[in-house]
Amino acid sequence: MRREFLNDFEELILTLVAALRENAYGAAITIEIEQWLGRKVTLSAVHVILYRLEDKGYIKSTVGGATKERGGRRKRIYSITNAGLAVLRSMKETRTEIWKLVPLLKIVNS
Amino acid sequence: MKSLPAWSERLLRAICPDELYEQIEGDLIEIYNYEVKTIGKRKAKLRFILACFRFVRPGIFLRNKFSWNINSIDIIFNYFKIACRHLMNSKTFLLINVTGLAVGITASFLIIQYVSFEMSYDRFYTNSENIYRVGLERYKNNELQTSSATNFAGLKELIHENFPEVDAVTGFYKTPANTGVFFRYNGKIFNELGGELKTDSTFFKVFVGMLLKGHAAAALRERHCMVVSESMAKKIFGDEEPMGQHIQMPNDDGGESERVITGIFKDFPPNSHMHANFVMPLEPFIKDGDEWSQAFLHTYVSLKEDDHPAMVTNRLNQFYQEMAVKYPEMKETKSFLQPLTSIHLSSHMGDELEVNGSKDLVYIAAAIAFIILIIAWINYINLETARFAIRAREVSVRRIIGSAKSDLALQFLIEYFCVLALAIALATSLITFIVPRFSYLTGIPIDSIQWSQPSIWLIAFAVVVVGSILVGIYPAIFLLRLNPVATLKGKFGNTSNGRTIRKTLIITQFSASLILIACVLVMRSQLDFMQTIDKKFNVDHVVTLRNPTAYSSEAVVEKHAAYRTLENKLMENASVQMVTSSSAIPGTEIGFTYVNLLKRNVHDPYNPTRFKTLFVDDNYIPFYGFKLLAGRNFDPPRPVQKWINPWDDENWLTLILNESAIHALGFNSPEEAVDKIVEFKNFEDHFQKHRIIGVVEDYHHEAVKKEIFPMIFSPNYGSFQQVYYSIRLNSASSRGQAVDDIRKSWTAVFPNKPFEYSFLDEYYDQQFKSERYTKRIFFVFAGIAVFIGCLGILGMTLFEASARQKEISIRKVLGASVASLIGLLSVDNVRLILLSAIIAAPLIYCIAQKWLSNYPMRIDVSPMFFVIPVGILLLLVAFASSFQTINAASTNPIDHLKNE
Repeated sequence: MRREFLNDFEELILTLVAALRENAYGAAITIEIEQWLGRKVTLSAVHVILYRLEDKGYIKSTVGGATKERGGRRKRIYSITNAGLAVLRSMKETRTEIWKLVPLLKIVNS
Repeated sequence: MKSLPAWSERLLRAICPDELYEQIEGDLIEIYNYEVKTIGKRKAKLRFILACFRFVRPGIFLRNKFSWNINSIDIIFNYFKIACRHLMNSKTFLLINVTGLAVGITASFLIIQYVSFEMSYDRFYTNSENIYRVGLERYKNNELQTSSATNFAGLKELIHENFPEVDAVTGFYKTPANTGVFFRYNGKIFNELGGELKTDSTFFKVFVGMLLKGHAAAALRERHCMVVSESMAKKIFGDEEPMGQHIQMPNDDGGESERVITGIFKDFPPNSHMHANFVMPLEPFIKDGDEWSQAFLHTYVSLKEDDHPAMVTNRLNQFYQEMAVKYPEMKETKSFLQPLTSIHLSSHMGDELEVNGSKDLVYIAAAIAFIILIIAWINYINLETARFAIRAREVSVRRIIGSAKSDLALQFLIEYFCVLALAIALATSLITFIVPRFSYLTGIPIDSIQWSQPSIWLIAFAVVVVGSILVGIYPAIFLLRLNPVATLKGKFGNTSNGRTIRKTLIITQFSASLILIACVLVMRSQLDFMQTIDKKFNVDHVVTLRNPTAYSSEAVVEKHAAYRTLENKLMENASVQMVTSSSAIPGTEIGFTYVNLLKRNVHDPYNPTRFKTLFVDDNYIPFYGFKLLAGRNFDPPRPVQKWINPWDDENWLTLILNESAIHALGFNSPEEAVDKIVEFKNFEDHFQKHRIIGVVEDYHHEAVKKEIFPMIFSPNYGSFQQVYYSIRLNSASSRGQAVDDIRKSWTAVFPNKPFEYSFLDEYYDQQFKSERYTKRIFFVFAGIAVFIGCLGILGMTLFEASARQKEISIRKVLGASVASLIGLLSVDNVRLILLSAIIAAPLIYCIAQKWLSNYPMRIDVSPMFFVIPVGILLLLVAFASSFQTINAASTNPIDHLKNE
C-alpha cells in the first residue's frame, strides 16, 4: 500500500481537526494554531489545506450553525474520518519508532 | 459588519466556489471580530483586507468551475465538428467565402502598409516633433501669390541672434539630385549622383541623431570638411576607416582642393522628404545686404520642448515687416513654421526638395482598404443569409428540441470563425508572398512588413476585429429571429426583409466596384493624355550625356574646346544626327531660378515673378523642335580663342523667352516682344541690357504635372553651364550601335571621365512614375474589389439557381426556352447594376473632378467614365453567373421535380 504523505502543516491541521472535534472549522483552527504555536498563519492557507485533506478523504465536512460573531454566516465543521485517523496514527507511530533509535542523550554541561 | 468594505464580499464571491463562499466569509468575519478584541479595530481591518486578498490563490479559485469547464469544452468541440461537417458539405461556398475574405484581408493589409509608410515620414530623428521648416509666402495686395520651401539666406542669422527659444537653426542649399558630385580619391575618379547639401555647421544640431561618426558641433565647422552618408563611405572607401580620409575636389579657381571626411551620417531612409549623400559647408558667397534679396536656402529650426511655433511665426513676421523698409524684396512676404513631420503629405510649395506625397491619396487608399473589406464582408453576409434558407429547417428542429438561442448563436459563430481562420491563414501566406514584391507593385521601397505606426495598425486591427464579429453575428441573429414552427411548416422562403437587405448590400458592392473601375479609367486617360498630347518637342532617339567638366577645374576656354572636339567627333558617326548642349534637358529641374531677374526697365519696381533660366547653345531649339512664335534662333557662336568678357560680345546679350515670360513682362503678343531691350540680371549681379530675339511656344520643361513657368533662354557660348549634351540619333541606326559610337567619341575626348548616358524618352517618362504607380495600385485594388464582388455574385447565382430550381423546372415543363430562363435569372442582377450605376455616377463625377484638378493640364470628365465601368461590370457579372444559370436552365426538369 502506498504510504500517504502529509507535510507538517497538513499533519498539524489534521491533528487539530481531530482534537477540536465539533469545534473544528477554519477560523477556530487558525486561532488555535496561533495560540498553541505562536505561529501566524493566514486563513486562506488553512482553508486550502482543509479542502485538500477533504479531497484526500482524511476529513469530512458538514455545514453547521451560525453565530453572531460570524455575521450570521454558517460554519463548515470538519471531522476526522477513519482514514485520516489511521494516517495520523501511523505517522505518529513511525515517528516514535524512529525516536526510539535515538540513543539516550543527556544534555550535559561541557 | 458595517465597518467592513463591501467590495470584499464581491471579491470573495467572484473567486470562491459557491458552496464554500459562505463559510469562508464567516471565518473571515469571525477572525476579524477576534482580532478587534486582541489587536484593535484598525489593525484588524487591515488584516481582514489582507486575508481577503490572500484567498486569490489557485488552491481556492481552481476549485471553481472545473467540472463545468470540461462540459463546455466538450460542447465547443462538438460545435467544431458540426461546423466542419457543414462547411465540408458545401465546398463551393466555403471556397468562395474563404477566397473572398482572404483576398479582402490581404488587399487591406497591403494598403495599410502603404498608408503607414506614407504617414511615417521624417519621424526618425530624435527630435522630429520639434523640427520645423520656415517657409516663405509672397503676397500681392494681400493675396497669396506663391509660397516656397526656401527662405531668405539671412534668416538663419536673424533667428540665431533674436530667438532664444530656438534650439538650433540651419539653412542649406541642395544641388539637384541629377547633378553629380565630382571628386578623386586615391587616383580614382568619382561622379556621384544623389545630390549634396551645402549647409552650415549647425545642420546636425537641428537634425539630431543623424550623425554616426564625428561631432555634431565640429563636423562642418571648417571649409574643407565633408560629411558623407554611410553607404557612400562604403562605396568610396570600402572597408577602410572613412574618418579623416582626404579626397580631392575641383574648386572654382581651377585647381583642386582637399576635403577631409569629418563625419558619417546615417543614410536618409526612404521615408524622408530629403535625400543626400554628401553634406558640405556652405561657402559664404552672399554679399552683405544680399542675404535679404534671394530666397534659396531651405531653413529648418528645432524648437525647445515646450515652445509654440505660432509664437515664433508671429515674432518672425514682425521682424519681416520692420525689415521690409530697408529691403524691398521683403515687402509683402511672410514666413511660417511648418512641422517637419507634415511636410511629406501636406506641403506642396515651390522649391520642395523632392516631390511630396499626397494626403488625399493616402486617405483614398485607406478608404479603398475599408471598401474592399466591406465588400468581402458583404459577400459573406449575403451568401450566409441566402444559404440559411437551407439551414432554417435544421435550426428550427434544434430549437424545438430545446437548444438555447445563445448556444445556436455560438455554433454559427464558431462556423464563421472556422471560415475566418482559414481566410486568415490564406491571407497570411498571400501576404508573405506579396510583401517582398511590394515595391515593384507600388514603387514604395517596402520589402518587409512595416510596423512603424502602431496607432494605424491598432485602428486597422480594431476595425477588422469589430467588423468580423459584427459580420459573424448578423447571420446568426437573422436566423434565430425566425419562428421555428412556421419554418418547419415550410413558410420560410426568401423573406422580403432579408431580400431587401441583401439587395442593398449588393448595390453597395456594385457601386464601390463601379467607382474603383472609374477611378482607374480616369487615371489612365489622364496619364495617356499627359504622356502623348503635350509633347511639343521630340524626345525620341535622343541620348543624353552629362558633361564631366561642368563643375570641374579646367579653364572655361578649354572646356568649350573640349565640347567642340566632342561635338565634331560625334558628328563623324553616321548614327548621330545632331548635338546640342544645355544646362538642363526636358525632364530635369532648372536650377537657375530667381525672382527679380528680368525687367523691362532698370527702374521698374521689384518683380516677384520667378523666372527660370536655361542656358542653351544655338542648336537647342531646332534640336528639340520647339516652335518659334516670332523672331529667330541664336546665332552660331564665333570661334573662341581666348577668354573674353562675355558682355563685350553682342551675341551674348540676346535672349529668347517663352510665351509665359513675355506675358509676365507685360507684352501682349510675341511679335511685340521681339527686338525689345530688357534688363536681365545674369551672373554679374547687376542688370544688363539684353535684346529679345525670339519667342518660343510654351512647353512643360520639368514636368507636365507642373504649371508652365516663365522661361529665359540664354546663350551658353563657351561658358560653364553646359551640363547636358543631347545627341539625336538617326532613326535608322540601332540604339546599341549608336551608344557604342558615342562611347568611342567620348573616350577619345575624355579618356579619364566616366561615361554615363541615358535615353531621354525613358528619362522624360520618369516624371510619370508616381502616376503610373498610382494607376497600377488602383488597377490592382479595383481589380481585387471587383473580383471579390464577382465571387459574391457567383455565390448568389449558385444559390438562387438551386433555390429556384423547382420554379425553373416547372417553367421549363410548361414550355419556357433556355434563353428566356437565362434572361429570367439574370434580370435581377442587371437591374441591381443599373441601380448601382445611378448611385455611383455623382460620386464618380465628384472624385474625378477633384483628382483632375491637381493637374494644370487635364482631360474633361467624359460620359465614358460612367458607361465603361457599367459595361465592364455587366460583362463580369454575366460571366460569373453564366455557368450556373445556363446549367440550371438546361438541366432536365424531371430530375428536380420527381423527388418531393
